[in-house]
Amino acid sequence: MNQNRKLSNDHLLAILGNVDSAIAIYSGSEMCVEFASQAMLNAWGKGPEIIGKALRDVRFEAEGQPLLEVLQKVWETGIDERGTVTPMEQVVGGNVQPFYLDYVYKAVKHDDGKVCAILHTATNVTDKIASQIEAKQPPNKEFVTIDKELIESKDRLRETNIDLQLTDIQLHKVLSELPIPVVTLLGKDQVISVTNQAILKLWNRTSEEVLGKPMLEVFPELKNQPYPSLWKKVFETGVPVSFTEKMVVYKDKVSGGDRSFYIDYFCQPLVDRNANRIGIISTVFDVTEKVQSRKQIEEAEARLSLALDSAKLGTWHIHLKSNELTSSPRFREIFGFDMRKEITLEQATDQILESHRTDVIESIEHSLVTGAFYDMEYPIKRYSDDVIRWVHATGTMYGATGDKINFSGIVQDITQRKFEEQRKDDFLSIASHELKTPVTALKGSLQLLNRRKSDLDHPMVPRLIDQAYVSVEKITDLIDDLLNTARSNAGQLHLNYSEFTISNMLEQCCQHIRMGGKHELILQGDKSLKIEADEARIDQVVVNLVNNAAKYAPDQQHIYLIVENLGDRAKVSVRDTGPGIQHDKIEHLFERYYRTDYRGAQYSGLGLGLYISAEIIKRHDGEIGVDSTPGEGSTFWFTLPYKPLKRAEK
Amino acid sequence: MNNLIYVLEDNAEILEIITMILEDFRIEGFGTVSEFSAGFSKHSPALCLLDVMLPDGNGLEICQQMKENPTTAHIPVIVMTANSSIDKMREKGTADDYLAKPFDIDDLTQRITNLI
Repeated sequence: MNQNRKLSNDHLLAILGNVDSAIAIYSGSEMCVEFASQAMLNAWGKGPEIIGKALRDVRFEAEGQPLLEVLQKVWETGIDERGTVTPMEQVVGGNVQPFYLDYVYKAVKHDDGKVCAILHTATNVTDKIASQIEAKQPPNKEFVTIDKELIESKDRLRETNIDLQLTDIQLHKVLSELPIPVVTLLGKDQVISVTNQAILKLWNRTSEEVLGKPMLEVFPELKNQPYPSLWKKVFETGVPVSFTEKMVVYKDKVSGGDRSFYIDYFCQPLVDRNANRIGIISTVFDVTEKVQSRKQIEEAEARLSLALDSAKLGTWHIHLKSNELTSSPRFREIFGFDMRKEITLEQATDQILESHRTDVIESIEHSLVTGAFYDMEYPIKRYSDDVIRWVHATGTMYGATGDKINFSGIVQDITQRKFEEQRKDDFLSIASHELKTPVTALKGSLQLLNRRKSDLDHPMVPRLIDQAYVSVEKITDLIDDLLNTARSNAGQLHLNYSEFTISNMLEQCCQHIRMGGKHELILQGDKSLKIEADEARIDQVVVNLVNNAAKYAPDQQHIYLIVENLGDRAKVSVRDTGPGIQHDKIEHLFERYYRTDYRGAQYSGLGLGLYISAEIIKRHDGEIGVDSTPGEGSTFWFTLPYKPLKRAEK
Repeated sequence: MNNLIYVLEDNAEILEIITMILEDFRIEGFGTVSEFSAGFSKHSPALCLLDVMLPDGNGLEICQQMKENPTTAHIPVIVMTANSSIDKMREKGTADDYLAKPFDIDDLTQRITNLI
């Protein structure tokens, strides 16, 4: 060892005491506690009165405190022991959390190899372990670290009276083998005077390369980093400085490449016996791993958040012991609450429609008891506007330890899909019903024919055969209509646009009605108006509307076909002089076609034909509607814009 | 004996078939509810055969109205429907019988003779 040391025992002591970490030193087979830093005392929950006592005489409350047998083994064999201990669970912020310490019992030896002391250091690695656990769980509130428990202010230590029996050399050895990087820098040139193995490892230097030299000579790359001005400030003002998770960049001494670390840094003034400042002490904790872990989690969280957002998924989390609900802004939006404010579990479940609320709650409880995956679809009433929406919620239970105490999952608005399903059901209902009508006539015809099969000259026979034909035609038409509807539902309805004069088309359509002789079709309005549209389809619509008018109008009545120019669009109306339609029936004519009441009866519009007509007009970007006065007749009308927004093909 | 049957059905083909099936009866057909209601001012039928879906009304409602009206409550009513929820109708409705479409012609005849 060199003879240039300026530091005395007191200095070294101060260094040890200034190290904000948990350290204890034992001597003798009875493990007399020679020294314990304030941080270690805090971890034990003991005061300075235990200094100087034999370890076995000290009673520790918590588990995992200095293990007497292990220490004795180290004393006798001279072999170091290390491990990870979870001494206790701490209650922090209402949550029960474990904390993890890495501990080292190091045998400090004389030059002759005999053990002179045991150095016990403990490092809090809860963050590192916790961030590994956190990576496997949905992101949650930050784990509160308990570093603070192990970090103590200098003042309290200075009040401690320590009776040290270790020699100079032993003390140097202790410091040297401390697993925390420490360096002292003397004077305003920050000359490296005391180092330990840990800091040399961090720097990747040998002691010969650095001792006695100014910091900036050894590490010129630090010139443009905040550290030199920091050291100057501490040296000049005597005020200690610390910070957490700052970056430091060293240059590799061989390749010149960057070696960067995240560090927690403590810098204090160093004073001599006469309280003169002679330099500074720096303690460095390498927290790179912790910071990187956390940054990875933050990035993963951000990506997850983005994914959830674009999928419009809301997330929820229930902490079962407190019944507290944590929800994402999207979740609150789906339920119709203010996105920025937290809501309670009760507020959310109150929005579930009563018809389903019990089922949902029972399903949740079932999942909690059996651990089964929770999966429910249910209707809610949005808080903001009372609109009914359907949601799909899924969830699962998890927990940090074996005790599953968290229940969390996602929720999605599936209203659109539910409506689609409803439309499909409606469509099948309509289709089935519509087909049964001509089939009834067909079946009746054939059965009657069967009765007469031995007497084919009966005058009824040709009539029945005609009927059968007509019915088959109708069935065929209907199948076409159904196919068209299915295609238009799937967005596949194909329109062939051409220009034509509306009144010409009207004059030629509905031949079957004109031929029937029961009704007269009268054309009125603008006889020269032209439009660009799918002529065949528009013809189909008019035929359908005229058929409906014929139903309402008794025999020998007029049906009026009217063409009007409304400026930006053409209007075609079909007016009858029948009894008219009741007001409450009109509402539903063009909307959902089939609603069933408690008796199973259905309110029809006028069947599939009108539904299809509405689809055709919609595809032309037009509108369709009906005006009716009971007792005076009804007018079914539709409009076609001259410039449709979307065009299939010309 | 009164063998007049009122048929409320908006489909002309089915009306014609029914007329042919029930050749022993006098059939009068109506295509809308309003026409049907007007028909009662002239005659009183022995039985009514009602379709459910009419352009201006619902056969089940008409049936209920008939049953509630003392002048028509005695008239037997058969409701015909292509609707699949005929069982529900049977449970909750007021008609004397229900017939599913497409029907068998003998079945129709049988049900009518049962009630007249």
